[in-house]
Amino acid sequence: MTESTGESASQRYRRRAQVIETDLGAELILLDPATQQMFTLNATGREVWRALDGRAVDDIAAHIVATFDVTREVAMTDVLSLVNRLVDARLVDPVD
Amino acid sequence: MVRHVAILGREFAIDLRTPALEEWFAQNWIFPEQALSPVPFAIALAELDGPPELRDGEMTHVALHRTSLECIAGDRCFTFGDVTAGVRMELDDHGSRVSVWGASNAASLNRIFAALFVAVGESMRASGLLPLHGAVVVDHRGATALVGRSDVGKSTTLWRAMQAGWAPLAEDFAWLDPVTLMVYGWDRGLRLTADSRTRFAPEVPMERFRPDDDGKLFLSYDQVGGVVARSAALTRVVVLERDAISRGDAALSASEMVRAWWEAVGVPLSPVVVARVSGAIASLVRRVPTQRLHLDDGPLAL
Repeated sequence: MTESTGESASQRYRRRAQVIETDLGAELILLDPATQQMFTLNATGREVWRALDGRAVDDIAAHIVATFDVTREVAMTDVLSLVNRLVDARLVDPVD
Repeated sequence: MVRHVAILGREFAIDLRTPALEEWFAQNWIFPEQALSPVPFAIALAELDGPPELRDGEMTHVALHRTSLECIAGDRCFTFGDVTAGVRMELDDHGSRVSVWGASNAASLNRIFAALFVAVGESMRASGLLPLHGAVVVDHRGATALVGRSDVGKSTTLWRAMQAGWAPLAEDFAWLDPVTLMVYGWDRGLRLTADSRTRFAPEVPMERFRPDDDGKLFLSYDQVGGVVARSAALTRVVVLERDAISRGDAALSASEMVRAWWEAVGVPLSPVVVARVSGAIASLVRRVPTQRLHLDDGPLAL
């Protein structure tokens, strides 16, 4: 693991309170009414979203490993990718 | 003196003394033709002699059709205004209490009316209903809601549908019961511009119209001269679009349907009510066919 990945792994994130969730079963639709940003999550994404309560990325990846049949490396890559996209969409904030 | 009235099955206890408040309430909330079975949710609406204790809190911006309001928001308590005039709404699991003060100051009335509409509307949402911002037309299959962004052409489409034999149910606002799918018209007539009258209603005598507040012509439902529906089962939602960039398949993706529903019903203030509405929308997306209709000058493809 590179140093930058290590820093990213320890970064904690939290869902924005104003984001509205609509649970369609197979998909979880996120909508920020202020920005009109929307995001669609599958089952794995839903689990990551639920875990974005101030936890660190590596803790969330560990949760994904425990929940789905996936390796730690794959989980880490997927969680980081999703969190970065959620941050870009301003649906998630880093926690200082 | 407190008087009791049932509105869409919800029991209201009303204690208002300022005549302008009574007139506003009657105009916006009394629709005797919309009688439903009683629902165990009580709404108390009371005029206070002075402001309640006002506490600091997080300010929330509430965007409305023609104005906007600021309110101090808690999970279940929302306060609009200040010590001179304002509205407070407090929710619990079985009802709500809406308090208003300072209404004798005429300069504050329009903002009080706007805040009252938000507060009473939030109470109705908390009771299980959804406000439906859009036009609604009815044919033998049931009700079709025409939704879309402001000024996309909902009213014009309603008039075009009427020309094609549909009955109007609402021009821009109705209440929807997401369990029964019944939709209840919540306006008193149709508006159109002078140009639109020439196009859509040239046979309606001018004396049946009266000027509306925004410069349009208003035609009350009892003057329409054709069949008018006041309630019907919702069978379809049509999302109106006009931009060339959005021209495409009539089918909507799941996220597009979710967005259309949230835009049509609006976002509640209270997180508790947001969760309730979210569950209702998830159910509606599965149960009510929702499609896109690109508006152009051709025949109305309804």
